[in-house]
Parts: sequence; C-alpha cells; structure tokens
Amino acid sequence: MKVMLIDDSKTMRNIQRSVLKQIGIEQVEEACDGQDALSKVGAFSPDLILVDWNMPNMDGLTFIKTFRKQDRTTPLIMVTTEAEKSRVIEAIKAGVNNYVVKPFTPDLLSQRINETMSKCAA
Amino acid sequence: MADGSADTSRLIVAVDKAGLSCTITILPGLPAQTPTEMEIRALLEEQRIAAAAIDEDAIAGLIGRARSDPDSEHAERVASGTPAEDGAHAGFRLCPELENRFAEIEHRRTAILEHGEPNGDAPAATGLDGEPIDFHDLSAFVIVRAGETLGTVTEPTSGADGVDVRGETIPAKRGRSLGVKTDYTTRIDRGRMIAAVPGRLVHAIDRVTIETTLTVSDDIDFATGNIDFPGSVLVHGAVKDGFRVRATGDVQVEGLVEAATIDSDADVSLTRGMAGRDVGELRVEGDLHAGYLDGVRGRIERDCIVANEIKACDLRVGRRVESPGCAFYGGALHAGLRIELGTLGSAGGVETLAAVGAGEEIDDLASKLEDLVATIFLQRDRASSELAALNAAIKKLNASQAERLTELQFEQIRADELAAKLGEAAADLLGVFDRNARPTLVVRRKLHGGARIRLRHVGLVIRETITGPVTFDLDEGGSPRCYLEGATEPSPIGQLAKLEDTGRGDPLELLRACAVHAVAPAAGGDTLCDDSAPPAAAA
Repeated sequence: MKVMLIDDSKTMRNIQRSVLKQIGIEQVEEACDGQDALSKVGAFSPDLILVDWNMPNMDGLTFIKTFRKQDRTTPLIMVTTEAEKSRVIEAIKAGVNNYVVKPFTPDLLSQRINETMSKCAA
Repeated sequence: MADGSADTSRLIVAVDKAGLSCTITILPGLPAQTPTEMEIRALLEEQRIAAAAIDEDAIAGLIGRARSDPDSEHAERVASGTPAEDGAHAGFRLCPELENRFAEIEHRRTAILEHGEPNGDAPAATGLDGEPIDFHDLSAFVIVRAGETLGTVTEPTSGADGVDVRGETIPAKRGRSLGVKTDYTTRIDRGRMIAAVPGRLVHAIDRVTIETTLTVSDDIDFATGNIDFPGSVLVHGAVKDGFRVRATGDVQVEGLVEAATIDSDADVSLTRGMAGRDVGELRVEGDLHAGYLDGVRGRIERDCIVANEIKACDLRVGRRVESPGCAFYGGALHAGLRIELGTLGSAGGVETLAAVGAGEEIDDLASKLEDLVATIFLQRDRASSELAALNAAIKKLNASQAERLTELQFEQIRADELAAKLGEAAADLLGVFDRNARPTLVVRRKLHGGARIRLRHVGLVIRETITGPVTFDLDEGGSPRCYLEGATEPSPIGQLAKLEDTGRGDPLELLRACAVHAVAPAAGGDTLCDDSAPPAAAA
C-alpha cells in the first residue's frame, strides 16, 4: 500500500512514517504543504493520504477541496490540532474520510488508518 | 632446316624445383631462324605451363634480344608461379605494465648485486626512472589480481595457398597453436589472457601461470622487498629487520623472524621463532604456532601455541594460549579463555602479567552499554517531565503544544524500545560468557613469586614460588580459586597470592545490571494522552 504524508513538520512526518512502518507500510511519499502534495500526488497515486490542516502555501483543507475535484475515492485522513466540532464538520464536508486530533498515540493513528481502509474497501 | 623457318632445337625450357619459375633459353643461331612467339608458346604448352603464369612481355623481350644478337645465348623467365604464404603462429605478449614490472624486478636484482648486500643496509640505487629505489616497498614478485589482464593472445592463421607455373596448388602451412603452456590459473577471453586466480605471475618462455602460494626460497630482505600476497606465503629463509609479510592466507616462516611484521588473515607458523626486539609485530586472524617469541607485540585472534619461550612480549590472544612446555617471563599475555604455560614469571622477579578472561574488553563493552542505557533513561525521564506538564494541561493545549505532546509520546516509546534492545544485547552477551569456560590459568612446572595473574577483573600477585601443576580460575560468584597438584579442594588463595586492586568490578555484574535495567518496565505516572475517539469518530 502507498501512503502520502502531508505535514509541514518533518518530525510529525517521521512519527507518522514510523507508525506506518509498524503496520507494514513502507511505500511512503512526503509533502510539506498542499501545493507540494498536489505536484506529487499524480505521479505517486497513493492508496491513502494523511493531511495536516495548518500548513504554509496551501493548507490542508484547500488541498482536500482541490484534490477531491479530480479524485473522489482515495481515502483521506485529516491529522490536525483543530479539534473543534465545526472544523471537523468542515473537513468532512470537504471530503475527508477520518479525523485524528493531535496529540495522538501510535495506537490511535494505526487504528484510524485500519478503520479507514476497511471502510473504504467495503 | 629451310631458311626462314624457325629452329626450335635452339630452345631449352627449364622449370625450377619448386615449380615457381619457368625459364627459356635461346641458343645462338641464324637470325632468320630465331624462334617465334608462337613456337615458344607451343613449347610452353607442351611443357604444361599454365597460360595464366606466362609473361607475354618477357617472351617478346627474349625474342627481340635473340634477333638482335643471334650469336649469343639468351635466357628469360617467361612464367612465374605464386608461392604459398604460411600461416602465422599463435603468440602471447605481456601487457606493457606487467612487462615494466618484470623489467623493474630485473633491474632491481642487478642493482642489489652491484650496489649492496641484501642483508645489510639498503642499497643506494636508482630505478628505471632515475628515482632512488626503496627496497622495502619494491616487491621482487609480480602479483596479480583475479580478473586482471595479463596480456594479449593472437590465434594462429591458416595462410594462403600458392600456385606453381603448371597451375598446381602449393598448400600453405597453418600456424602453430600457442606455444606457451597455460593452466587453470588463467583463461583466455576475446584475445586477452586473464588471471583466473590472484597470486604471483610466472612468465617463462614456454609457460604462463599464477602461483597461489608464494614460496620464497631465501630470506625476506632487500632482495625480495616487503611481501603483500593474496594467498599463502612460505618463506624458507628468515624475515629480516624492518620487513613486512602480509598475506590473506597462511604464513609460514622456517627461518628466524627478526624485528619485522607478520600480518595474516589465516594461520601463522614461525618454525624457529621471532626475535622482535620490542618492535616486531604480529597480527594473526587464526592460530599462531611458534618456536619462541621474544620482544614481540601483537594480536592473535584464535589460539597461540609456543613451544619454548615467550619473553618480553605484549600479546593479546582471542581464545587460548596452549603452551604447556613454554616459559613466559617479562611483559603481558592476555587471553580470552585460558592460558596454559610451563613456567610463569622468573626467579629475578621480572614484571610478568598473565591475564585471562578478556576483562578489559568486557569492561569496555559493559560500561558502554551502561552509559547508553543511562543516556536513554535520562532522555526518557526528561521527556516524561515535559509530558506530565503537557498532560496536566491537556484541555488547554495550543497547536504547537499538541504536536509537542505527540512527539514526546513517541520519544518515550522509542526510548523504551531502545533500552529493551540494549537489555537483550546484554543478555545475549551474558549467554555467550555462560556458554564458554570460566577463565583458567594453568602453570605446569613453576609459578614464580612476584608474577601477576589476572582472572577477568580479579588481580593476584603470587607471594612465593609455587611448584606446579597449579590451576587458577573463578568460581560462579567471580571469586578466585587455586588448585594445587592433585587437590580436589581449592587452596586458601590468600596464602598463595595477594589480591591486587585492578580498579574494576566484575564486568559480568555490569552486564547483568544492564540487562535488568534495560528490560525494567517504564516508570508509571507519565500517562499518554487521552486516545479516546476524536470528534469525527463520534460524528
């Protein structure tokens, strides 16, 4: 499985990468913001995307809206500190499939990934 | 014969033995009776000379000369054959670089003969390039690597057949196959001879081969230079002061090794021994067998077997010193598992240490492990404090604090994992020691007073000379024991030796501590953040 990580924090991408490694996912592409992700997503064609909300150049929400215009099926998980209900609903409306609030634990993140992939496969 | 008609009796035809030349001679006679071209051609036809071989111009010239000077005899080659061209023989030519190396070696040999004594000081001579020669570094052997191109090989050719004046074929001789004998050590690939094995290149008139064992019939000295050989080396002579023998295989020296260096990736056998004069060096990946060792320092990875004497040496042996007939005095002898000697120390009390149990190495390893575990736990504790503070304010965290909290959780998990891995490594290491014999020192004949013994971390100085056999080892608790000849119970150690402070604890205890600490459960209280379902999941 191929996963794209979009987060402006290298540390956070490393953390997510190590969680993915633990659940056996080694094919990972990283992007540091929405714009960077849009330039890479076509060539990489991921099976899952983890995206932060607040990033420079292009934030996560804008990325999701843009990406969903061309791809309605690839699962997206928003991994963010934005925990307010209104923000969550906004993200879901934009097209995310699941939502993880920072801080999170490795277990929680891997649980959300498995959950999301199972739902999308069904 | 009537006037005006030709006199063919004046013509003589001769064909040489090889059949490559046909000559016609016109004898003197009347000008009007000079043979015509037609008559000459008829004569040639009669002799079965091929038309293609006949030289019309030569015939015309001959007739002309006979007409103008009928009183003389005239001869001309009127038909020629084509000789056969025999094929070229196969050949081998060394590549220029190797040719130069052989030339340098020959030049060096001459220089040695002219300018110096191989056993004396370095001869003052210059190389082919005019620069002074360093005879230590210049090897007298051409060493090649596997896969190296040795030279070019030309195949024999079949040549071209010839034709005699009668049109018969003269067969050409095919060139002979390679006159140089080769064997499995070389191969021929697209006209190149390639070394199939590494070793010494031998290029004689009639053979090319690579010797995988370098045999030196005399000494290693200025005549041979240092040896660096990709295989085994056998030296029938000595290894002189300042020279080095390096081999990837075994090294055997039948003569004396002086203050030289022997370096082998396998076993070393020094039939006579080594007089290193405190600068001689040994590095042996396998076992060492020697007649005696004097003033030598070095490392032997496996076993060390010395027949007669180890004197004033500093040696580290990976496994065992098995030398029951050997006297060891002066210097230090370290062995990983066991030392067995004939005598240890000297009546004069020269400083002598026999150490068994790789104490320093385990100490270093154990203290490194301990330091690593301590560092990891320190970092983990720091992360825990910060984590506790953030968790206390979990409801009011801003974005960067939330990210920091995630990072800290991961750091904590990673630290625990690393500590556990180090603990496993320490436990594995302990297992290795458990499976191996306890450090043991056996002295067969005499253990002199003043000799120092170290069994792992325990240091002992022998009080009075003890007649052997005597055995020292450590009990399970790491305390020293001594068994005199025939005794089933250990003798009181304090009466035989005084304990010496080595400044070290039992390294195995350190390892045990590492193993225990490293697998200890993470300290409580630093609970990870709440991972209950996020709002989205609830939604």
